[in-house]
Amino acid sequence: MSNTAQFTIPAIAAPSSDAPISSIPLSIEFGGGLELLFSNKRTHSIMLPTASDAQPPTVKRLITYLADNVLSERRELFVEGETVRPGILVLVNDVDWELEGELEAPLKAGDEVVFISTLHGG
Amino acid sequence: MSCSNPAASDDPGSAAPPPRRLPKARQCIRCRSPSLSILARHTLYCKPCFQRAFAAKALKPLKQAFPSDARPPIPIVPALYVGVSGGQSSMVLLRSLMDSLFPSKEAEAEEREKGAKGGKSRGERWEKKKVAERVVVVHVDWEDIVPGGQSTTETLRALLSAYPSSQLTYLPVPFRSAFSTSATALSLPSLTPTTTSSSSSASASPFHPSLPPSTLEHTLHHLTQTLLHHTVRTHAESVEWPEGSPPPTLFLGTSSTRTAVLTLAGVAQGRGWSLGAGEVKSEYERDGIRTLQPLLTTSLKELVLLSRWSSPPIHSFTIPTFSTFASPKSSIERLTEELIVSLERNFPSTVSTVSRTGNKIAFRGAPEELQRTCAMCRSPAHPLANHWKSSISISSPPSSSPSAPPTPAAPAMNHYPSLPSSAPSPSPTHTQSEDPDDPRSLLCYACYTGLTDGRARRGVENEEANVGLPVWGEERRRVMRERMRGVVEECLIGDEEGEEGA
Repeated sequence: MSNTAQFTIPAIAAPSSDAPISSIPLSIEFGGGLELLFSNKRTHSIMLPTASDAQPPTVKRLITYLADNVLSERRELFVEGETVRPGILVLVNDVDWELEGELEAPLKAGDEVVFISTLHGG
Repeated sequence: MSCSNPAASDDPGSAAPPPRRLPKARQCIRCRSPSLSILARHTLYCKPCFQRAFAAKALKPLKQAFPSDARPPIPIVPALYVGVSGGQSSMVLLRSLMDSLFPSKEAEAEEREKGAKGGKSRGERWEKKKVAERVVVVHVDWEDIVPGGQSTTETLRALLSAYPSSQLTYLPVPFRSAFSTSATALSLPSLTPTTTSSSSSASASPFHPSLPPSTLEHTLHHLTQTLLHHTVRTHAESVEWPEGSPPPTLFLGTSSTRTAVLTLAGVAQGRGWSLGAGEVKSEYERDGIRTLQPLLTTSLKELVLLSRWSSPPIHSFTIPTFSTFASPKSSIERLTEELIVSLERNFPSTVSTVSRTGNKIAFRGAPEELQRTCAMCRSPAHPLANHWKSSISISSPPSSSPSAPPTPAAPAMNHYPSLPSSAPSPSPTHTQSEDPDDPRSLLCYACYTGLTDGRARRGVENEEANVGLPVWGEERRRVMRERMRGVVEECLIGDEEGEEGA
């Protein structure tokens, strides 16, 4: 009599190239009136899905994610093509994103990204 | 530049612009630190150096206006005025002024320490003596003007509570206080010519919904500016000023970005004549009030970061206007703003060039022509502006009056109630009729054109085409009527003269 239990191991589906393997937590803040486009909420905590190629997500990916999943109205007032509309200032960990590579600035878990509209001021 | 249309994703212009090229030396321009925080135009700064650079720049107009080595010495003025909307620019300006005029004990100790270490020489340092007793914050509340707008008076009051009441006085002004309901409305032409009466209810707002967004925006802006000056003048007249005081000084927080927008949008809307008289200049005088704009060389980006990095942070709020969150093509101002902020991102030097050029523009007319102002916006009004307009526009068939001398650009007769039977000859010294009921003699070209925009006013009933003038406009009408009365009375033969001639 065999003491070995027989198990049927289910086949694990190979991950598709688009399926997120993990996600990173980010703190997002909106100011200068932009919060009105995001359910009138200034701060958001999100889990940004990362790509399967293990490359760190970039600000470009974050912008697309926010526009697709968090934005509540008027997409055209936040994004223009692949980037944010002119007049919207972006800070990554309190540093001007122009110093971090703009859209290609890499993001890691726990980063704080701020989007501030410089319009409608006085 | 793309049109912000999300459907235009195939437009090559909608692709993200390439990242800006950074200076080769990746270090702070002042302290050489590699811990950079901001790229301001083409200059790299760390956070502390950026804040210090701004503080020095913002203090410069104050030093020039109140030099410590003036002879005779400038007395302490009872008030310095600051126009504050509650937005980022004006709140940063207010903080900067308050820190300069009423420095904290810690800041003073830091300055003393810097001096002891051999910082700037004594002659270079501005002797920080008391300049003013207090700062008066003037705020124009747009409640009920902008659809869906709410009162901002108490919101700003809460933000100002951070400053000691002994140093700051809050002076909120409802926008509607600029208009008196007892005044007589000005009759404007509409495209529905009917008989009109020159007197009607003055409740007609200059913000009638039939007006195009461009007109609403620029009318709101210019009336707000004028109301600010009017309020400051009224307050200054109620205060006793020591002998030898400079004119009452009003600080405005217009940024480089906003100046560029005002310059281009103003020219596009026919404000070229008044451009050199102020508004886009770092310093100008109007109605006896000296106006300083210390942030004219600072971009909105820099101001936003300053407000965020200040300690404590500078809070502000968004003030909705007629085109807030509207399409970028909804008005001339929005289109211009879209252009300027796009330029500022990719070609930042161009925006500062536009604003600096605006500062260099000189008023083209003679000095006395500065006194001929628009009854609505109080900007200098060209005396022949509307004659020129009538000579280039046609709204009805030409008159067959034999007395009308033909001119090379014979104007068609517009169907206005108070239009003279023949167009005046375009003499350079000719001035328009000083008729207090003729909008052409009261308004500048930009206000007149905006308020009588044919595209928007088509089908507007005549009564709705009337507009109430602000209190300063009514004052001008009153002066014009008195002047006309005086002229008429001079021509009348008195009873005694009649008897002598008999």
